[in-house]
Amino acid sequence: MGQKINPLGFRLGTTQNHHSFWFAQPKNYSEGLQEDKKIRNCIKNYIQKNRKKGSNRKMESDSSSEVITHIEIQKEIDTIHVIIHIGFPNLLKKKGAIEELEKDLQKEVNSVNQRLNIAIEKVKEPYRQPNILAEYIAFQLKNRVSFRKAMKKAIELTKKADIKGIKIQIAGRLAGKEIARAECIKKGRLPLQTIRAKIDYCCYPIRTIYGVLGVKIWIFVEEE
Amino acid sequence: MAKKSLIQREKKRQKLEQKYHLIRRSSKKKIRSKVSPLSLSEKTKMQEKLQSLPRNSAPTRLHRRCFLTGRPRANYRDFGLSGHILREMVYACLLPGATRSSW
Repeated sequence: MGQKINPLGFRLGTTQNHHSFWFAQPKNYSEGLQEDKKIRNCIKNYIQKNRKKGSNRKMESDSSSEVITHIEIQKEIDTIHVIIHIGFPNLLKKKGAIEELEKDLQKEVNSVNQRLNIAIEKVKEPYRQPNILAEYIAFQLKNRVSFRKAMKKAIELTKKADIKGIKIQIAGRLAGKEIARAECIKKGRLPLQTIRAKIDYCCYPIRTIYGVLGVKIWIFVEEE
Repeated sequence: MAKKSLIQREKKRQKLEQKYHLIRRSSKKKIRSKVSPLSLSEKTKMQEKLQSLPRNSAPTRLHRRCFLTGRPRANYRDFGLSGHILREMVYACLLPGATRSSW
């Protein structure tokens, strides 16, 4: 039985860029990794907290907004640049949000010599990002929409985004059945073995009453 | 995921080692010194001083654990991660400079 390699790790260094961009002595590499982890956790916790505040007022019923696609961290000698790629940055655009986040991060990282620089980058085509699609599907499945309908709806969303291929696979106890299985919908091309093909991928667990469903989404963006 | 108590014990050891690091180093340096050797009674006093420090402050009591999961085995020294988490993070593009070899 052949196994699929992770399309992101397979293309690192060619069509896929690292999300952390810095270098360090081998002795200090581990500290850098820990720092990155703290930064990312702090940002995600901040957004989750504020999402709950927002949802209490019933302002945003769609929970698939405010999805971070990825957080890019670049380090220089005296500066840490944090670039948050986010699909719908309504929350962070509020007044004082970035300053508050910077204060939290500064406390978290507790490095006296380094300055923090947070930038927000809006993703141009949100539905081209597999993270956002996965959050969308998770939202649908939690509201007990039929899984096949949710998958097809997600694929319809990507038609506007002009991609060349997409594949969505959900595995687990679909529709609450006794026996788990995997369902998969594919549309367009998906050259997984071609390194120069730019493929985005995400793997996302969904917790339901019947157990955990796994969602995997591959998106073939373009060929260089 | 290791037990939280074990992770906390390791953190305590790290703090104690950091706290008593200089005392231990200077005491050992004095005992071993050849430039100004100590007499036997002074050596004994210095040894007693060393032994009165908390045991968890000895660097030999430290044990490397994965900083994400706390796993005590299969840790890579360069990353501070266990192999399983290291692989996950490589595939998530979170380790700068890491690529996969394929031929």
